[in-house]
Amino acid sequence: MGNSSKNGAKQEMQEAREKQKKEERYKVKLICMRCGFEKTEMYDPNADEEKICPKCSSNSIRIKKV
Amino acid sequence: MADVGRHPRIELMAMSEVVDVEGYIGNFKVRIKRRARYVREKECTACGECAKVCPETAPDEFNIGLSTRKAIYQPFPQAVPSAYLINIDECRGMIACSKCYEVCEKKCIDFADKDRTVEIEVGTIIVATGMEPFDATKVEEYGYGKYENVITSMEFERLISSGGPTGGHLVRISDRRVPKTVAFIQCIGSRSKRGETKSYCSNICCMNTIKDAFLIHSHYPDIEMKVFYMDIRAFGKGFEELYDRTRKFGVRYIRSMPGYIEEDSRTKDLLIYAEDDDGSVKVHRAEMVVLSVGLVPRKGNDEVKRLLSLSYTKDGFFMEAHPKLQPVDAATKGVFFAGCAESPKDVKDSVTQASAAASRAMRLMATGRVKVGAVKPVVDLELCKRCGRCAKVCPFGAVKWEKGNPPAVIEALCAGCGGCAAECPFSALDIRHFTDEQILSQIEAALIERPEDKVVVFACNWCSYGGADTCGVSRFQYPPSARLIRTMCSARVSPNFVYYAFSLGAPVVLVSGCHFADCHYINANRNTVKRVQAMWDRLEKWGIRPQRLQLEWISAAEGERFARVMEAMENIRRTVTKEEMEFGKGAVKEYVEKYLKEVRKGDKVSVAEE
Repeated sequence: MGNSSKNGAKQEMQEAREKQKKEERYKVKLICMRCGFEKTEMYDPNADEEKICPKCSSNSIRIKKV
Repeated sequence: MADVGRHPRIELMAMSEVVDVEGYIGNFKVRIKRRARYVREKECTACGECAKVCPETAPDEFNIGLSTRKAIYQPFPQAVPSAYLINIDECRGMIACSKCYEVCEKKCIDFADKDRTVEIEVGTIIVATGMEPFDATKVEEYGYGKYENVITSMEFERLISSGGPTGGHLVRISDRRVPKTVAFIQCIGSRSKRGETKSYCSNICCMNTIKDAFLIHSHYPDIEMKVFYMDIRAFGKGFEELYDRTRKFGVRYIRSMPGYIEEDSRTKDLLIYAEDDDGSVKVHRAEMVVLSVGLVPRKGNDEVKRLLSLSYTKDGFFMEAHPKLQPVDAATKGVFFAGCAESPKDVKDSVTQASAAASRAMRLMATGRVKVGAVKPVVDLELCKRCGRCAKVCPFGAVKWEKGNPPAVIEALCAGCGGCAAECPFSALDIRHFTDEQILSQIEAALIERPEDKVVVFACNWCSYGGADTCGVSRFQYPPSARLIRTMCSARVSPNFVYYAFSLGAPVVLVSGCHFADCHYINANRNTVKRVQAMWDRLEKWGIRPQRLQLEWISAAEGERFARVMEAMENIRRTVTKEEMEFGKGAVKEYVEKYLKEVRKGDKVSVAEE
């Protein structure tokens, strides 16, 4: 019984941590792998959108944390 | 609605909420929370005596707060089942009040009623969760919520309805008198990219305004009407004719979107500032303004999406399996859409779609059996390390996994994207007809001669491969260096395939798939993005130029884009030197050898769940 409540609390903490991680926005450098165009912006990992290079309209956008 | 309530084979569950859905086509188990009504549904005759004595009042939701109701009430006159209910949060309770209990002759009031959960088994599910009107307070310049005589089209609907708060009399909110001039402003919250407005057309608003103008004219022929619009979209049987009729009886259509509205504080009239045809700003005075609000997806859709493994289109409505060929099917088999859950539509279109959805569901249930495709995962139990990564990436929840056990695949639920196989770090999963060995053989064949001249292109079956086809039939020219390898989804492309291509001397590898909104496997191509990002990091670590791996989304209609992408790939290929290719071969050699050793041992077996 004790173990299961401990496990439950652990799981809750992990879920909360994951949720917090998901909600975090961080600064990234977006690099076009086709034309080399670079841009720094705040990145939302939960935003479900296609990345497109504004210069060459390629989808090969590499996301690097800065 | 009444027919549905009476039908012997339809069980109508009002005040109910789906809390859990398990299973798959033909075998769904649905848990439903049935909220307490506190009135015995079957015994209540809706005489209304209880509401007459109830001392508590609250805004009437059905009339959008334009009238009040009691704590014991019927949601709307035509509600099915025709029975009252108690909002227990507003009720004073049995001890403090009990007036309804005392007055009810049939003794239907039951304060001991409780929420309960029921479980039912169903073969198919139709999602008809509807929509919500756009919140007009978000378009601040028109003063909704600030000026009493600025109302929404939904509020207008209740005002003009004979069952509404004014018995069908159109009156201004401020002074309860019939307005002499009414102005309609179209596209509130639609066809705009500002703030929280939506970029899509809400489909019904133009015709709704035309209908409203028609109603006003038939009730009050002297009311002057103006409609401010971007363009009137009166498509559909008889719609253009109705539009013409309103113009003939004097409705003035002004092609201009007003900049803002001000209120005359003395008369409570509204001053609408709008650009005229000659570019000058003109002020139009109206006694009432109706904002023709657009439609937005329901707030509770996220929960439905999660329960049924559905996906959204860019505008936030549910995505159909195919926009042209399967417009009422969801990507999850056995689930269908009806009405505005899928996109904004009028009553006629909703009825048409609902009929189609019912037919699709009936066809399945009448057959009693479902044929599933052969493109499904098989697991090598020797190689499987029971990590469960395959289950985590399955967009359909078709891979069941418990800690310490190998995964089990529900074949009826699996759509065969192959994402699980690509995710497995131990090569323990394979996909029938798209096995690792088969794809490796294709890569070998593509690079057997002069690999330095080739671009290996992994193309998804539904979009990119179709894009190549469109490119061909449209006679667009593209460089002959491309070697296409078809997979069902871009998510099937394992990093091992990419590294194998580099080990054979491929100068450039392209992974291509559907655009985000078009993915045929809900959101499987988001895993492709994650894998490609990881591959770029790894290639860089190995000293291989990451630019040699490219990622592109090409739809089946984008033949020209396919040609342009192939030209870009050819340009990149030309920049890759022989030394780079040789270096690349050496850098991935150890990894690829280890992978080939793994993949060529052991037997993959089907572990489909019964």
